[in-house]
Amino acid sequence: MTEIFIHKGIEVETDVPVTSLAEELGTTRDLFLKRAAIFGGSVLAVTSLGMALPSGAKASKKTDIAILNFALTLEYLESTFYAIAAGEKHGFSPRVDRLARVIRDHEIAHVKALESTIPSLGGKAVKKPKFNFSPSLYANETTFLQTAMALEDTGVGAYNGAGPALTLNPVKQAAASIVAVEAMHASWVRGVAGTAPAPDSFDKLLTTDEVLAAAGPFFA
Amino acid sequence: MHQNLAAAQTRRGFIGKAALLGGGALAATGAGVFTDSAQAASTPKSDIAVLNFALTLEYLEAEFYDRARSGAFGNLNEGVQRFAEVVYSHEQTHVDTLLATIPALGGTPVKKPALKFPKLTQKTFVRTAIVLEQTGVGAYGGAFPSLKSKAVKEAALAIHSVEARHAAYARLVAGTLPANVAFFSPLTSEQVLKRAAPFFA
Repeated sequence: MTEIFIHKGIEVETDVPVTSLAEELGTTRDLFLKRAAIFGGSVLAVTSLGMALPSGAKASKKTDIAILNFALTLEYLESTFYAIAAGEKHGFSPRVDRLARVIRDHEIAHVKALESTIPSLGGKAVKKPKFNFSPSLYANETTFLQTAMALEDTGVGAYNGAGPALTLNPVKQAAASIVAVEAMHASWVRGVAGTAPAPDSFDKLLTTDEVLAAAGPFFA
Repeated sequence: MHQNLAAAQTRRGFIGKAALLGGGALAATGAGVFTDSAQAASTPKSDIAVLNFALTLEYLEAEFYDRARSGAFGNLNEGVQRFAEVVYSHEQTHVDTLLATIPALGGTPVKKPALKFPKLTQKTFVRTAIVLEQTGVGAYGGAFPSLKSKAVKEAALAIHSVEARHAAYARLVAGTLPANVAFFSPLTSEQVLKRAAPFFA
């Protein structure tokens, strides 16, 4: 089972049985494996590194790399979603078209930054997964904005949830500078959708599992 | 890319600058009254200092929006009034949370400093809100790498992104691009103080 993940190019030391990881995650083994496969192994990387690797600079670096690969996967997802929105005619109003174009450009910039940061730390960036964005998501502004809202709120929660585990200061700084922009996107999308841009005094810190539950449907 | 930030925000740096903010900073540093609880004992003073620095900014934001929603900057239209009410409620919650968290971690919260605000109109209120919120985002983002305690990191992150939502909300209300950069630069404590200084009496 561990070969799946190694083949994806993630540097994982699989000294922990997959079954025990699944138990730790409070989910079934099959579900866990499915989700791990969806995310190209970065799930396993995050969980196993966080729980099992010996402490030390090398392990710390690997923890950060795994988190960055998890983030990169989400950024691939977002950038693809907005590229479809901005690249084709959907009959959106000018302000929604503009939102899609601007956010697409930001997400692409995040992808590029992560793709170059991960190797600079000695890691290997995950490949872009295959996505499944149904044309119905772009059928009207409301559906598009609702999906965008879910993705942005999930992105904010994902970075926030991973933040406390980061070890390297430059990575922490980069994550902070990206999550702020994801939150600005979330607020923007919500405002344009006519819902509260900032619905709460505190944002959530999502677990890996919660992020996967929200993003899973978009993976082919 | 921002490696120098954490180094710039040494405990001493925060203390020195916090003192500029109105005397209450002594509490930020002087504390040392750690409780017996494991968490309090394990919370570094530098984290407490960051929380007190954040509390000072939250006092500023809360009073700013409280004045706005109460009519100090003239009548606001419905959308701007709602913005002021919502953001006030969040900032006051941040103040209350920090006031409860700091002692729980063994620190002493700074007192609310005396504040002053210029005469503002609806339009300049919203523009000032953009500056304050962006300062808040940069402050939390800049301080994050220096934090040591997991609980403090979690609290800071949960607040940081809400400040970013506020910033975009303010920009949306002002009719300007809500997210105008792909990466939001963190601020050093010096930069934060420079931006916030005009509001301290």
